[in-house]
Amino acid sequence: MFRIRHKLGLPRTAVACYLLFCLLALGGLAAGIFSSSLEIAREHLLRDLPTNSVYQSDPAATPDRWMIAYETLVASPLPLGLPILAVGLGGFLLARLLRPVTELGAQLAQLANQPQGSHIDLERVEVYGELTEGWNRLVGCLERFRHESLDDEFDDGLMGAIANHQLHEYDAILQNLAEGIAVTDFEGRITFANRAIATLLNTDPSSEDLKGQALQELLIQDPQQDHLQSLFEPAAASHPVSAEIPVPGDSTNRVLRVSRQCMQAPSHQRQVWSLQDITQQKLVDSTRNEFIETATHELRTPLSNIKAYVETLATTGDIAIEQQQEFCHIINSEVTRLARFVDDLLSISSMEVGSLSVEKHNIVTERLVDEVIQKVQPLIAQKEIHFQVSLPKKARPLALDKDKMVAVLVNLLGNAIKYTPRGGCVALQVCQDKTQLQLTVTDSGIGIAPEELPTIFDKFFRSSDPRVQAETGTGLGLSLAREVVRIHGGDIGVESKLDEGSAFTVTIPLK
Amino acid sequence: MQTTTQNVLIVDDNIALARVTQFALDNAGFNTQTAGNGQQALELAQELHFDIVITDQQMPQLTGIELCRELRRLPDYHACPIILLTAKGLELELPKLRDELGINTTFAKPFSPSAIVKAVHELLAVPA
Repeated sequence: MFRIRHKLGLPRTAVACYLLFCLLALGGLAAGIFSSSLEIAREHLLRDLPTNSVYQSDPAATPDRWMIAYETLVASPLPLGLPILAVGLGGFLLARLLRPVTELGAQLAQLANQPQGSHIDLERVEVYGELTEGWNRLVGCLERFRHESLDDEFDDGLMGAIANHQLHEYDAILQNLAEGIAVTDFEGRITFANRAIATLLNTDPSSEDLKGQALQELLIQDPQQDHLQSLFEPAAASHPVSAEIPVPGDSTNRVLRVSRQCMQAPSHQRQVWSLQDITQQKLVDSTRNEFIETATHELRTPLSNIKAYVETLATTGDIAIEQQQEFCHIINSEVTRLARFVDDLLSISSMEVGSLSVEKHNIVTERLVDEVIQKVQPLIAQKEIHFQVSLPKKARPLALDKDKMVAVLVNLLGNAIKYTPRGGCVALQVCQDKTQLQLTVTDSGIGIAPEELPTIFDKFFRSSDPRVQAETGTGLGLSLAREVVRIHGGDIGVESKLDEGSAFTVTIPLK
Repeated sequence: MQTTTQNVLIVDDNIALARVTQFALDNAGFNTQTAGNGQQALELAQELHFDIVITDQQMPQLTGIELCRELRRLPDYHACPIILLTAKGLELELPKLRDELGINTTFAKPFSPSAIVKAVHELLAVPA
C-alpha cells in the first residue's frame, strides 16, 4: 500500500526567501565581476602605458573582454564561485520541493480518471502543515474504507466456506446415522433420504433413487394395515406421530418404529420421518415379559399351594393322620420348589456378573449318583418311568463341586422325566476313564425340534412345543447346567429327535 | 357336615391346588370332580352335569376364559355360576368378564380354600 514515502522539510516561505537570496547572490556576483573586471582592465592599461604615452584609442590595444573575464574568475574564485554553487543547490532543492506536489497532482489526476468501482493505491506523503494532515487523512480514510470492504468480502467468503463445511458435516452425519431419516413434501414424496432408509426399507435402489417416491407406498405394502393410515393423515400433521410396522418385504419379522414430525415451516407441509429398527429391542422386551410371566407363575404356584394346604390344615378339625402327612409332604415339596427357583435366580444373577464359583471336593461318583436318584425318585415313581442307571465298575474319587453337579444331573433327569410320557424310559449312564468323566441322560420323551436345538441352552428359552408349554419351567435350568459344567472345564452336548427322545451328555475332563 | 347333591367341577393344571380345593369342598359336602386342563374339563362338563365350575385362568391348551366361552355355548352351562382363579390384577377386569362371559367372581392366587367354599355356598344359595 505504501510504496513511496516522500520527505521534504522546506515550507513555502523558505522557497520565497531562497528566490530572494538567489537574486541578491546573482546581483552580488554581477557587481563583483564588474568591479574585478574594472580593476583588471585598469591594470592592463597601466601595463601598456610606457609604450604608448599618449593614450590612443586603439582598438587593437583594448584588452580582450573574455580575457578579462577569465582573469577575473582566476583572480577571485571563491566570491564568484559561491553564489553560482548556492544557486545550483537552490535549484536542486526547489525541484525536490516540487516533486511531492507533482506527485499529489498526478495521484489526484489518476483518481479522477479511474473507472468507477476500481481500486487505486494512493500514497502518503510527509510534508509539514495542513497539506500533510489533509492528504494523509484522506488516504487513511480511503485505505480504511477499502480494508473494511475487503474484510467484509473476506468475512463473507470465510462464512460461506464454514457454512459449506458444516453442510457437508451435517450431510455426512445424516448419511451415516443408523436411524433412517427422510423428508417428504406436501404430497408425501421423498425429497431427502439417508442411506439407512434404503436398508431399513429393504429396497434395492439407493437413497438417491428413492427421491420422488411416495414413502407411504414404500412403508405399507399391505393395504390391510388400516391402523397405520393415521400415520399419513395430513390433518394430524401438526403433532409428532409414531407407529410400529413390520419391515416391508421382510420374512424375518423385523419391526420398524416410524416417527413423523412436521418441519418448522408449516406452510411447506414438509415432514421429517425417522425409521428405527427395533427388532432387537422388541426381542429383549418380549424375553423380559416372558421371564416376568414365568417368574410370577413360578412364585405364585408354590405360594398358592402352601397357603391353601397350611390354611386347610389349620382350619379343618378332622383330618386323618395320613392325609395330614400327605399335605405336609406337598407343603415341603412346594417350599423346596420355591427355594430352588430363588437359587436359580441367584445363580443366574451370579452368572451374569461372572461370580458363579465352584467348590471342588473329592467325591465318589456313586455317592453323587445316589444323591441325584434320591431327589428324582418321587418324580420317577409319579410318572411310572422305567429308570436305568449304569455306573463304572471302578471309580476313583473326583474333584467336583458336588452340590452343583447334583443340581446339573437333577435338572437333566428332571427334564427327561418331565418331557417323557408316563411309562417311558429314562437312563443315566456314567462313564469314567483316566481322561474324562462322561454322564449321559437319555430318554424316550417328546424330543426337541431341530430348529430349537441351538437355542435350548439360552437363558429363559422355552420350547414352543405345546407339550413343553404344558409343563412348568423357568427356562433357566439348562442354561445354569451348562454354566456349571463349563466352570468345571467341560461342556454339555445334546442329540435329539422329535417324538423319539433326547440324549444330553456332560463331559468333564479329568486332569 | 351338610350333604348336598350339588356338583362342583374344579379345573386346574396345578394338581396339588385342585386337590386341596377339592378337599375343602368335599368337606363342605359338595360332590366334586377335578380336571387337569380346559379340554378335559370341557369333555367332563359335557359328560356330567355340574352346578358350578371353578377354573384356573392360566392353563395350557385351553385357558380359563376360553373354557368359559366354550361352556357358555353349551345349553346346560348357559347360566351356570363360574369362579375364575386368576393372577393378581385380572380381578380388575371382573366387570368386563362378568358382562361378556357371565363370570360370577374371581379369586386371585394365593387364595383361601375356605373363601372358595364360602363363595360356592353363596352362588349356589345353599345356607352355610
